[in-house]
Amino acid sequence: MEHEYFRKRSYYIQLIRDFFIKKDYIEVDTPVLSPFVIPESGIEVFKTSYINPVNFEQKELYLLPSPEILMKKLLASEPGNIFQIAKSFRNGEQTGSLHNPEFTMLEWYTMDFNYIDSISVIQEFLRYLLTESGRSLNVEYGNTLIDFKAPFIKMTMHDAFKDFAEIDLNTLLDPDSGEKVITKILTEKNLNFTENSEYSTWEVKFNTLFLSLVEPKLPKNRPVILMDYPSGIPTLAKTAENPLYSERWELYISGFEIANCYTEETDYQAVERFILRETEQKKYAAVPVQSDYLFSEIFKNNFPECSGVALGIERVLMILLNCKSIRGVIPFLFF
Amino acid sequence: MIKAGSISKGMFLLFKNEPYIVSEREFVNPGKGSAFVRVKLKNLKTGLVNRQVIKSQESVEDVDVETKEAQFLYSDGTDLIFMETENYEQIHFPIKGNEDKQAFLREGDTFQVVIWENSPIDIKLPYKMAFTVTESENAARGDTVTGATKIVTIETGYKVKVPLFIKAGDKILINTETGDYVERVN
Repeated sequence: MEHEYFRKRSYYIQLIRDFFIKKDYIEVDTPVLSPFVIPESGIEVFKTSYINPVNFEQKELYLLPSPEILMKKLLASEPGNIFQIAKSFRNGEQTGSLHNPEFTMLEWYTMDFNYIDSISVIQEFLRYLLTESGRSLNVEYGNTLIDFKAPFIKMTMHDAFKDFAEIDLNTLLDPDSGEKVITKILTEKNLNFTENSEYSTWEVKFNTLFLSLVEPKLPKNRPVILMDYPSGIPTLAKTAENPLYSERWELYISGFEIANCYTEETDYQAVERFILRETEQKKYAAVPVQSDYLFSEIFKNNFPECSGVALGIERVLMILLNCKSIRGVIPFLFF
Repeated sequence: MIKAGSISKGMFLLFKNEPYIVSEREFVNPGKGSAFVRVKLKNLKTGLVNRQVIKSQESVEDVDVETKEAQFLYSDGTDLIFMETENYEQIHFPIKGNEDKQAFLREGDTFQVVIWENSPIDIKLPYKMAFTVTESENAARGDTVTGATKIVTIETGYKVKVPLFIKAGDKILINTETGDYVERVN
C-alpha cells in the first residue's frame, strides 16, 4: 500500500516538473531555513536556532511557511518564469483531513502575467496531469464526478455572495457600516456562536459569514476559481480597479482550497504598509517572528510585474488518488 | 470553557443555554485568513441540526456530563428502555432524533449512556460492532467501483450493503458511525 503510494507520488511530482520545464520555467531551490519570514497574522511558524560552534551564540531561524519570500528575492535580481516544489511548514495549525503541519507546496511565478492570465495555466496544468497519466478528464472523487474538461467555473466573490447567500457583498465592505451589516446578518441567521468577543474583527466576521453561507455551496462537480476577494483581507496581491477588491483567486476543487493566486503587489509602499501592519498583528502570535523589514526594499527597483500561484501538492494528490483525507497521501503521520 | 480549536466529534457543548452534541468537525483556514472550526451540532432536546463556524481561539462552553453503564432492554415505540447495571434503575431514552443509534442496539447489550442534568442525552456506541446476518437477499447489480454487492438484514432489523459472499448466519462488523459494512468476522 505505502509502496504503491510512493510510486504514484513520485510519478505525479515528475509530471509536475515536466509541465513547467516544457514551458521554460526554471526550477529553483531556495532554502527552507531562513532568518526572516514575511509576517502573516494567519500563519504561525516553526522556530529553531543555529548554534555557532566557536562562541555558542544562537541565531534564530524559521522553517518557511512558503517559499514566497526567497522566490521574490530571486525575482528581484533575476526576473524570469520560475517554479519550485518546496517543503513548507505551518505551526499551531490544527491537524485534520485537510491539514498537516508539514506539507509540499508548488509555487510558480509568471512574468508579465496578471491573476486572470494565471487561470489558463492552472487549467492546463491540472489537465496535463490527467492526460499525461492516461486518465479521463472526468475524475471520480468520493461520490462526485469532477469535470476538468469544461472550462473551470470562474466566479467573483461578489457573485458567490449574491447567488448563494443573496447578500450584496459591497454592503459588507463599506468602511463605515460594513461590520454592522455583517453582525446583523450573523445574528439573524443564528450564526453568532460567540458574540462580542475580542476576536470578532471585521475579517473574522466576514470569514464566519463566508464559511457558513457561501463556501459550502460552491459547486463540486467542476473546479471553481473564486476570484476578487475583499481587499479588507490584507495580502500581497494588487488592489483591483475597484479598491474594495484584490486581484486574487483561490481554486476550489470538491469544496476545498487547492491553490491561491495573486497579481503580485509590486509597489514598494504598498508592500511596506503590509509588512508594518502584519508585524503589528504578529505581536499576538504564539510564535513571535523577526519581520524582514528589508523585504520591501526589493520592490524599490522595478520589481517585475508578475502573477504568482501557490498550490498544495498533497491536496491535488488527494483528488488524483481519490483520498478523503490528507492522511491518505502522507504516509508518515505527524502525531 | 474550552477553545473552539479543541472541539472534537462527540463532545457536548452549550449554545444559548441549549445542549448540543458535536456530530461533525472540520478545520478550515479560509484563504489568507485565520483558523476556524466548522461544526455540525445536534440539539439534544429537539434533535435539530445547527451548523456553526467558530474562530479557533474563541472560547465555547462545554457541558459537564455523567456517563452510566446500562443494559438495553427493549423499545416501546417511543422510548428506548435501558437498565443501569449498577442500581437496576430504568432509563428512558427518546427514539426521536436517535433513529440512527437504534439500528445498532441489540437487546441485552450494555452501552454507555450519557446523562446531563438527570436526563439521558446520548448513547455511546462502540466504533465497530459485530452482528449476525439474519436475512440475505439475492445479489444486487454490482457497480463497477466497489464490486458486486447485495443487501442483508442484521439481527436488529438494520439493512446493510455487503459483498456477495456474505450469507445468513455470518457475523459481520459494522462501522456504527457510517453504518457501513467493514468485514466478516470468523
